[in-house]
Amino acid sequence: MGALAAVFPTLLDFPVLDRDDFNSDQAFLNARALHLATFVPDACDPMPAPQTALEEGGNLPSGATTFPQDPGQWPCLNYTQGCSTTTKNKITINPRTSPTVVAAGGSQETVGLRWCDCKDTPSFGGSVTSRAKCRNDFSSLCEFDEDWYGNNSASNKWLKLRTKHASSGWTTPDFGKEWLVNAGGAAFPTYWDFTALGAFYMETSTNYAGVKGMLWTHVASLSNASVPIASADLKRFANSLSSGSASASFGPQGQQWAAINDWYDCPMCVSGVAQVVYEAGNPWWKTATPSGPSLVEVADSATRAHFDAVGAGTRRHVPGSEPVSWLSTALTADQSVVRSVGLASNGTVLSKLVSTGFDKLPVAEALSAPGGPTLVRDEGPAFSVSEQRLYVLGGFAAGNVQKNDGWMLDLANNQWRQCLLPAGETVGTVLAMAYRRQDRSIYFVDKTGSTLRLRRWNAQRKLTSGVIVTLATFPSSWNAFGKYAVVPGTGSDLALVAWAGTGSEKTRFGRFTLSTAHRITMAGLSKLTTSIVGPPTLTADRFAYSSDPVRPTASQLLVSSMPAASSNDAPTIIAH
Amino acid sequence: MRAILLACALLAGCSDTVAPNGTTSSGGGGGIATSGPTSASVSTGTGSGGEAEWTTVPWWPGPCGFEYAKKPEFGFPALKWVDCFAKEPGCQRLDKNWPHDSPSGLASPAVQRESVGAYEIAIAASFPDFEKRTVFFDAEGAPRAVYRSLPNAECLGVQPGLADDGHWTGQQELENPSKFVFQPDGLPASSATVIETDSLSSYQRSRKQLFAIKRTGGSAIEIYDRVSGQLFVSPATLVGAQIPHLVDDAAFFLGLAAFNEPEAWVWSRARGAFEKLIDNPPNHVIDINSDGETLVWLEAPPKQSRGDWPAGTLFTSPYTTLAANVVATPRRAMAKIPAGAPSAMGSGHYAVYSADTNLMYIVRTSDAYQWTLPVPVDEWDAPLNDVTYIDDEYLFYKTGSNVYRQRLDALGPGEPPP
Repeated sequence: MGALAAVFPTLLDFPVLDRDDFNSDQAFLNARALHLATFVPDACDPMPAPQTALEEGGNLPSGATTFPQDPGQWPCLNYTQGCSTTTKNKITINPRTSPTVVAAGGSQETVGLRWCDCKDTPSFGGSVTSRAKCRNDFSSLCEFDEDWYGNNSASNKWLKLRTKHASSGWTTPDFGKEWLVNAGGAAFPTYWDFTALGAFYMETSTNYAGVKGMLWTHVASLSNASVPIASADLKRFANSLSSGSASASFGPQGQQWAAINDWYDCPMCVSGVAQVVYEAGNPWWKTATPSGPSLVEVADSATRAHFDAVGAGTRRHVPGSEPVSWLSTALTADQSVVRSVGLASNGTVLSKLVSTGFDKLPVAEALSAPGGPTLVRDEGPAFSVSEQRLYVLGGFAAGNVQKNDGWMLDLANNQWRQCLLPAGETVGTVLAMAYRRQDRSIYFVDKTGSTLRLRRWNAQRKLTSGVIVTLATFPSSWNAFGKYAVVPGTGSDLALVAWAGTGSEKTRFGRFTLSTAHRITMAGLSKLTTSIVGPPTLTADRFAYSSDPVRPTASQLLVSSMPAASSNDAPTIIAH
Repeated sequence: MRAILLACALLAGCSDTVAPNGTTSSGGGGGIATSGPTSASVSTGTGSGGEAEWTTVPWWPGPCGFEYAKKPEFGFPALKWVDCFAKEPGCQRLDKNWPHDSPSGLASPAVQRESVGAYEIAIAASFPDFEKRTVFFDAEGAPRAVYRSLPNAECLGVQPGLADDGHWTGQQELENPSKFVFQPDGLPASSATVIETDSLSSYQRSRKQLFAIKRTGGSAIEIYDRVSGQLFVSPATLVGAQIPHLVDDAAFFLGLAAFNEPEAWVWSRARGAFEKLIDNPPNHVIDINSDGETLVWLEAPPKQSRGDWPAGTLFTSPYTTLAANVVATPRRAMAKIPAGAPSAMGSGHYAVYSADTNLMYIVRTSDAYQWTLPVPVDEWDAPLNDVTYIDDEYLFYKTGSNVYRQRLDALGPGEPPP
């Protein structure tokens, strides 16, 4: 409206531009550019034109035709939260009002949607310019004509939408739905079954299906007859165009960048370390520094092959559990240790990453250790640098049968040992697991029913009765996360960190302390509305973590700044 | 047209002023369809020159390059008709034998009958990498003129048009004045008539002596008349208008003085002005067309503001461009048809598409017999976009995926008016 009022204060109709009215080609072009920018339905106008946004977060009817799915094309690794379908078909309609409507005491308005196909418009995106091209390109011809909203798609260009019914859902979807809402009222969502448009409009490939087009949002009527807006003007001006590109795609959940939870020396980092992160399909691995991602040079071919396999989703990288800040002081300059191991998805040991001292990058070597467990699902692996031992606990075998066993692989002799749990002792779905050097124990979080439990296995005593101790159970507020990590500290600290939150809280840091008798106490809890890339690490006084999955950046959380947990979030400490 | 081509071919100087219609090419301009290349040998976006000898048109200054082929037979494969996907009787569609990466990407074609069973056709098609080509086929299916916009996401293209002595084409971008031209047969590109309008337009329609556009961002219709060389603009009192149907000396279209109240309007060379032609309250005219011999229009009762148009009636009148001379004769009841539905008229036949029934209705004006034709099912279930052309032999139409033609004698005996 600003441009309309400022440039054409008396004009109520589209200005007609004639080259003869301008002194030069450039003056004409300038006026035409202004015309295009101003007198289009995208522009704000004095009418209560709603604004509409098409976003992720919807769903489609079961059985909707989408796309051939091939998880093998993506690195659906556990630490990237696996793969899932992301559906972008949630249309949020934001009803608007105007001074005219307000002066008349407000009004309800009837809002409707139409869609036009722009898939053949070159480089079609969500911009105003793209939409202008779509309206004029001969292969799209999404001409905008006010009269076509109520004219049954005279040229089959502006189509009605099939949307989810407010109460019956997809059982009886709406077609060409109109909403009666308060002008200026709260924004509301609707969910669009764009697959109902049919094969002609869909672009489909492996792991992707979508449509490209424009949404036209229109106020069809105002209920308050005293609003001094003629119906013809409402028809002409109470319109807005917005992006109408909807899709469903199958790929790694959550974020582009994921962490493998290996940490390297980072002089510029407050914590002194930076986390290694990778991106699906990106051959360059990086560390998350305070200024953003920094390239990790991996020249060794075997190491390159190890990381490539991890990135491709065919190898699982199990890093050492010990805090990197402890490793940096504990390892002597010429000490050769295995820092992490690589497993095939079925648990076959494939590789080990060996470093000489802390500062040198670990180099991959082949590792074979037959006779170990077969991983199926929900096992918890942990590797100890100080013990040079790999632990595997719990999980399920084929047929959904709980394994109820633990395994240890000693790298010194490549020998596996299996420890069966005693009768009555079970381990649920293992969500996170780590080795704690101070008490030579495995700490893990498992889930039984809907309850999360922090538990300890004194792995040096095998699995005799009572060797697995439940330390705490967690209230349901801890369930709203996709990923968990148990993070041992350098001293008496131990943390449970949850991330990939499904609500507004994306990340939760829970800090515990352990007494000399190894009894646990809750010591603080912090919540973040931002996402982290992978498991953090604990230094003496802070968490170091990588934030912003789009551009991983080193961040920190001082433990001294962590408040006490509220009653809704505090775990119940079990006597132990 | 053939006489002009022959005359040009006999003139010694012609080869020095190669025309966009390729009159000096040795292997194809008027040759047989099989003389053209296969799709594999049609280059895509490889720059100027090449086998087709791509040459920049002199009238388009925009950064979105626009070229014509001096050897059009190398600019586009020869036209080939194939049976429709479901092999409906009398139904054929284009063999999309040119490089393409989308099921759609075609503009509405232009069709003109050369002789019984022989048609000149023009199509504009999207090639991969944002390249567009416009090709004018002769009646034997050989490309006789080919244009291309270089691979560029800014090129919007123009729907082609045919005339007895040349063709209509042009180019548009968002950021530059549009150019629409008439290219006479047998003359160099520099001789093209550039129409005196800069308007950006989403729809263009051209035929013989007339060229019409509908401006983007408004309701104005512009008509250029080659006979007078003048450009005419519809009155600003109209809040809406449809792209006109063109006959030799007039353009018929729906104009809306108010929303949901369409009327029949006409621009005629004789009057040199836009005028209301038919308005019969409380009914509204929801389509108007003509073949130069008869006027055909559909009248329907008023509609609810957001409902469908009620079923209406087909009327005819002897041809006229004057409101006072219209003799309205109701001929038969019709299905529910939206205002401004795709339609065509020629040689005493009228065809219109109903989105309500997804059928095309073909009416012979002499006896008001009617035939119905479903939109053919194809691999994509593509919707109908345009009813392009009809005469007493064929109906040409376009869906989202292809250009079709239907023999009328394959449609059965038809239905007499009720």
